Formats: sequence, structure tokens, C-alpha cells
Amino acid sequence: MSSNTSDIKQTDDRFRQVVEAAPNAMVMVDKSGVIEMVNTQAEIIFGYRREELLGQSIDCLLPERFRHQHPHHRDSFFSDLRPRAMGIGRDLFGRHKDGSEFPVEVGLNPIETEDGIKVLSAITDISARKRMEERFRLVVEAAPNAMVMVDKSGVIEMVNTQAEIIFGYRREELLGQSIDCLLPERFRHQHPHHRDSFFSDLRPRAMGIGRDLFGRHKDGSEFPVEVGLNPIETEDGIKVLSAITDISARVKVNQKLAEHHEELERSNKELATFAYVASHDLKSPLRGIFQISQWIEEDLGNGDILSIPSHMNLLRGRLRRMELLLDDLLAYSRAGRMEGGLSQIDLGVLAHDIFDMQALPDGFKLLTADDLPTFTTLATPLEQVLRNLFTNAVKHHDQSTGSIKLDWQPKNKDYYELSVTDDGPGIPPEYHERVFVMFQTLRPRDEVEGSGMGLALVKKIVENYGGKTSITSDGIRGTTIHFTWPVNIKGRAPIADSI
Amino acid sequence: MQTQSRHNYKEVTLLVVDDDDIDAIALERALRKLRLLNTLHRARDGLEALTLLRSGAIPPPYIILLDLNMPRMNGLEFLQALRTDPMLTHAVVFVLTTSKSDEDLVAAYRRHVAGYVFKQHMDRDFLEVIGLIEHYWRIVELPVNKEMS
Repeated sequence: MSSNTSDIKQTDDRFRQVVEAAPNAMVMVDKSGVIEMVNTQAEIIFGYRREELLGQSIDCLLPERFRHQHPHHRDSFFSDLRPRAMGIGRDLFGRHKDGSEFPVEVGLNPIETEDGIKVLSAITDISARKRMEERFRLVVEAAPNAMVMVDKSGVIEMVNTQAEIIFGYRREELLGQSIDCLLPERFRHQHPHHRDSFFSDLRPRAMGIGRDLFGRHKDGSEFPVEVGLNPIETEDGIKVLSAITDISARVKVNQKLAEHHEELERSNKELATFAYVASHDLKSPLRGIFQISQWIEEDLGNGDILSIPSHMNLLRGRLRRMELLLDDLLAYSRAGRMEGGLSQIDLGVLAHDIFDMQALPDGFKLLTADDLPTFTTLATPLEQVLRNLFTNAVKHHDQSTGSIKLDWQPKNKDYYELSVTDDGPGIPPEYHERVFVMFQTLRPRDEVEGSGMGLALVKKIVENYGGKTSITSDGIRGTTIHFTWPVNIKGRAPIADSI
Repeated sequence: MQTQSRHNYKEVTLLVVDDDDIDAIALERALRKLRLLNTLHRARDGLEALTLLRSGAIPPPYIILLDLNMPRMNGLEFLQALRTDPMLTHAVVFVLTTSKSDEDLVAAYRRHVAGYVFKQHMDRDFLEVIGLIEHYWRIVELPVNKEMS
């Protein structure tokens, strides 16, 4: 019996030594919350001497505002005895003798003793860690980017104000949700896979290199983003802190730049073509005129008067050609700059008006589809396109009668496809590209007077409004010029003045 | 030697490939002025010239006077076709053009033209050019028949 008692005493002593040596503060209370044992660490962090605590209620170590709930929590612990952390999900605080509070973590262990069940609590002062966490939160909050921290399964644990702003959610709507809600739906199914591969190779890096990334606003709209990923080790495991930048503005600027660049390239190419052809097409009538004047001089000197009228004819022809070239060149350079205003047009009526005004030979007639649309557009450039196509069709016709047909079909929601078909000699496929280049003619100007600007002008106008031109012809009979025209046209100021 | 060059002098045919009537007339007038009796053929673009040459309508020896800027098939395209045609590849071609572009000049010589002449000096007419070409065909031996190539 006595040996038994001394055994128990020995065990008890050993237990006290272990508790004393523990690196945490340890406090043992009985079922009613009376403190039965404390260690030196407990004395230090709470500021009491041991004898001040023993026999007191554990409540003295709690801030007053928590004291009334404590018996209830204690009872529920005693009704389900197992070691566990106190107050999961709640912030716990200890109370120093001087009345100050500090954040704590508390582990609870039930201990069976001779006088019944006791609770041994291990208490850690986590002020330093809390300060670190707070500092981290402030850094995240102060970041100029949106920051979102998720755990391994993609649940959002922290966001900053920027994230609230760019995604349109309030903080409390995001915390605890899956990160998926910030992604466009079409990317969601791949995301877990990408996340897993990030976790399997933890290093800071940019997300989705080479892919275009998009965020999804609460209102469902999408915006381009750049995302930097940083693994963060925390006490509850690895988290990912993502820095998200809304790059809409940059993308828009880049698009604008690309458009300007393209426009500049087009305009430069046009200028180069112009410089090239100006040296030939514009100079050749001048050279001709100069030459004819020499012939007239020579022939008059030789007394050959009979040749003079034909020289004069040729000379006037060159003057007219020069004038035509200059007029058409001017029209070309102005294409897209003279838009007039928006007006509602009935395409059928407009086409017949244009056709009638051209004073084309009597043998030619215009056929129009019955259901040509009526819509609001910039009438001036559309008229210019149709006028050029009609006169072209008649000018290059090989017969004295013919018909020209204007047809249409809706191409997509943004464009109509219009087509002008003639029954002239056609254009062989090998010339289909060339006919749209300025100053290109398929027959010598001495046979068919023309600037070679007609289709180039059509192409330029149509492309100015985002449309496309194309040509179908077997080169045997008939040519169709197709072009698309916007259903809802927007006037567009040219970026660079073209020649 | 004498007889040989005189032989060429009489026989050589000129093929003008130019869409401009005035240039064609100017060449004719220049020939007349220099009292040259060579036959002058005219094609209005490269395609027409190729057709004439392939049909045998132009009797060798001949010299081609080629404009660059023409409808349908331009001068450089014509040269390309000419040099890849085993029957025509030996043809002697002078380019007569208003184009001062270096690209055109290099491209023409790359296709083995005998000379590249600017038609820029309007006052000098075509006399000088025809004069040059007359000297050329008097002194230079031209390929006579197609098998020579």
C-alpha cells in the first residue's frame, strides 16, 4: 500500500517536472475551473506568481468579456473528452495581470487523476506571429495589384481592396469561395490541373506563360489579366498568393498601336506604289506631249502639213489623260475622307439613281435584286463604290449592249455582301489580284482610256470601313465584283493622310 | 568581217514592246530619220510579245526594245518568261523605261538585259537610243537561229 502510495507520488512528481520543463505555459484546472497547477512559463506570460494563481478560477487569465461563456465551453469539453485545440475559428486572448491582453493558442488535454478528471492546457503567446500576420496583411493590402491568396484546394483565404475593385465583389463574398468564381467559365475545368502542377513545382512564376489570361468580373464581363504566383509557407500549409493585374488598358493601347501600325504600313505601301507609278503613268503623257510638239515642229519644217491634225488629236488625248489621272488620283487620296453624313438609303433606288446619272450608253441596263435592303449608312462612299463599279463594267464591255446586276446577301450580323455582275468579256484569273492595284490597266490606255484607279479606289473605300473586296470571273464571260459593306457604319477618321 | 556585219545590219528586226502609241511612233520616226530600213514590230504588252515571238512572226536576228510598265504582263514578268523559255532565252533585250527605280534596274540586269535606258531625256528623242542600238547591231554578232542557244 505504502509502496503503492510512493509510486503514485513518484509519478506525480515526474508529471510536475515534465509540466515545469515544457516550453509553453501550462495550467491545470479541475472540472469547475479552479487552477491546480501552473508552470514557470505560465507565471511569465500572465505576470502572476504561482501562489497568486493556485486555487483561483481560471477566469482570471481571460479577458472579462469572455468570462461568461467560459463555463459553458468548459462543460462541453468535459462532456466530450479528447485532446484538442481550444476555440477553433475564434481568436483567443489571454489576460495579463496588468490588464493587457495578448493573443494565444490553447491546446486542451484531459487528464485522469485520483481526484477525477482535470484539464491540462498548454498556452502559447502568439503575439509575435500575429504581428507578422498583420504586417503581411498590411503589405498585401497596400500592394498596387489585386492580391488573392488561396489554399491548396483553391479556396480564397485573403483578398485585398484592389481585388475587390477589379472583380467587383465585396471581400466577404470572396472569402471561403473557390477561386474559380474569378475565372471565365470556359477556363474553370483546366484550373485544378494547373493548380496541382503549380503545387508540384513550388516557385514564384507568372501564370499561363504564352496563354492569354482573363479574369471574370462579378457582372460576368471578362478582362485580360496578368497573374504572378507566389507560394507562401504558413502554419496551415502552403498557400498561393496571386498578384493579379488588370491589363485591359495595356491591351487596348497595344491594339490601337497595332492598328496604327497596320494603317501606317498600308499608307506607306500606297505611297511607295504612288511614287513608282507617278514616275511612269503621270510622266508619260507629259513626255508624249513634249514629243508630239517636236514632231509638229519637224513636220512643219519639212512642209508636211497633213500630219498636223493627227498630231494635234494625239496631243489633246494626252492632255485629257493627264487630267483624268490627276482627277482619279485626287479622288483616291480623298477616299474615306469625304464621308458626308449618315442617311437612310434604299439601296435599289440609290443604285438606279447612280446608274442613270452616269449617262452610260443606251444599250446598258441595270438589274437590281427585288429585296435590296434599306438601311442607314454613309451614302457618299457607297455611291462612289457603286459608281466606279458601274462605269467600269460598261467601259470594259466588249459589246454595245449589256446588263449589270446588283445583288446582295447578308454576310453576317455586321456586314452585307453586295455584288456587281456584268456580262462583259471577263477577267482571266491570273489578273484578279492585279486589277485592284492602282494605275493597273489590262489594256493599253491608247485602246481604252482609263486611269487604272477604279477598282483600287473601290478597294480602298471598302477596306476603309472594314470590308473586303473580291472578284469572280472565268475570263471568258462576265465579271462579278463582291464587296462587303457594314450594316452599322461608323465614320472613321483616317490615321495618316494618305496620298 | 565586213560582210558579216553588213549582213546583220540589213537583217536585224526590232520588236518594240510598249503600250504607249507615242513611244512606238517615236521609234518609227527615229528609224526613218536615220534612214534605217529595219522591220519594226510592235507588241502592246508582254503577253502579246511572247505570242509574237513564239509564233515565229519575228524573224531572227532580232533585238527587243522593252518597256517595263505595261498592262497584263509587265516588262519584268516578260523577261522572266523569256529567260525560262529555251527557244527565247538567248534574246537580246534593251529596256527602255521611265522607271528610275533601282529595284527595276537590278531586276532587269538579273534577267540579263543588254542595256537599261531611261526614257527620261525627252528632248533627245529616241534618236540617240536608236543610234546606240544601230551601232550595237553593226558591231555585235547576234544569235541567228534558235538552235544556237
